[in-house]
Amino acid sequence: MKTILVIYHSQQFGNTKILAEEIASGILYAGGAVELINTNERRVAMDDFLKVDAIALGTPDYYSYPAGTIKTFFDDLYLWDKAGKPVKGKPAVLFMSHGGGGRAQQPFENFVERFFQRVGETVTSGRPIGDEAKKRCFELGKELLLKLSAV
Amino acid sequence: MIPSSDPPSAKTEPAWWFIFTAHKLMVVEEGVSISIPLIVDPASLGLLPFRERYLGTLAGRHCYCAEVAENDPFPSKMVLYGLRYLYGRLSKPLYAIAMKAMHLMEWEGTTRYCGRCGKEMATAEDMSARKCSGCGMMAFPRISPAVIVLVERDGQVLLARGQRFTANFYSVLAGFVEPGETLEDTIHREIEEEVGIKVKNVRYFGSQPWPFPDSLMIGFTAEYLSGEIKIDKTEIIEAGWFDPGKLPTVPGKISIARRLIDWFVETRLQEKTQVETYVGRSYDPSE
Repeated sequence: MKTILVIYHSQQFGNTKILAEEIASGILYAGGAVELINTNERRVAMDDFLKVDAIALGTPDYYSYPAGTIKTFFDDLYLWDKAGKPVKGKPAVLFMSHGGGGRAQQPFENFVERFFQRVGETVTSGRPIGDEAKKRCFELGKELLLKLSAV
Repeated sequence: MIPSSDPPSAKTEPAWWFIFTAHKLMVVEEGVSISIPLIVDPASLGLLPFRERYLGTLAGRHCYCAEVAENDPFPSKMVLYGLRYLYGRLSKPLYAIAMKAMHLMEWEGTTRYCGRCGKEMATAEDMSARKCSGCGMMAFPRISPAVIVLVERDGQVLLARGQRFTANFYSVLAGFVEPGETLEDTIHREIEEEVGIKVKNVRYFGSQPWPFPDSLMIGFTAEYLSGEIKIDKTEIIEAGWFDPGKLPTVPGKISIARRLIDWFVETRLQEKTQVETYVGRSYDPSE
């Protein structure tokens, strides 16, 4: 059975968390196992990351940039990669919440492209999170799992 | 495992609904994928459960279990399967909750009336128990512990074919814990009763909920101490010592019995390879 790690930063409004849980539910529905880490509560450890088959990654838009703890995750990836760990190439889906412009999407996707194979389109949503964005996240979780199972 | 939390005051969001009928679980089947229905209420499927219970949340969504009557109209999109069939076919976290749900539904069915005064029982407010409407007696979910033991003798494993086994396979020994016993007592008694031998060095291995209908299997390993195999014919058809490389048909992967056997085979075959490699190398003059 495939396991997906959902990594997200959520604090003030809990919006990114809502999206993360929709993705998790889509993964469960499609038959996968899932683990969730809110990087605002704890840092992703190397083993959390290495043992899973794919990841889902989500962030709010802070100053047109991903949240600091998400940047920290990428900084860690850089070091694990340097240390010779197999960090590159996992399939990944992305999601994002924002208060208006959503300009964090570009730097967010740039980071992701260095390490992962993106699956589907990044789901972006303004606040509050609407039903449409929730549904897209659920479907994205399903899509990721189906893609993994097909391999 | 599922975190407990208070039930929501109203059902407004889609939730995971574990709906049972005739000891089987209702699932959605789409191609090769099988899942639990995500619905606001069973009424949306035209179902009217006669029993319902809140379970907690999974990744932010509420989970409920329910039971509907066998002859109620059946939703066309749904399929019924036994939990054993669903093992490995359903997402692991959902499967774990399905085991819990099955156990609770079966238990509620056996606590409709008070065992002390005979009045009707209802689910207690905090949902941890059933409470009698007459005398107030509380009944908590019944969990029946059973031990399951892998016995080893000189690199061989003890396997037996039980009278009550549904199929023709061999497994490790198991038995229910009786009142007044420690788990160790049960192990020594069961092994002696069933195959007439004594064991030593009992070690805990792991455990597994087994809601068919209400067990908890507690796994151990032990070493042979003394005696020769003499089977109790009412429980066992055949028993013997087997090499890890030459096993008969063993139970399916759902059971802790299989986990014990797989562990044994894996570790013993590994050790064997290591010993052989070492012996081989020690005769190599170039080293």
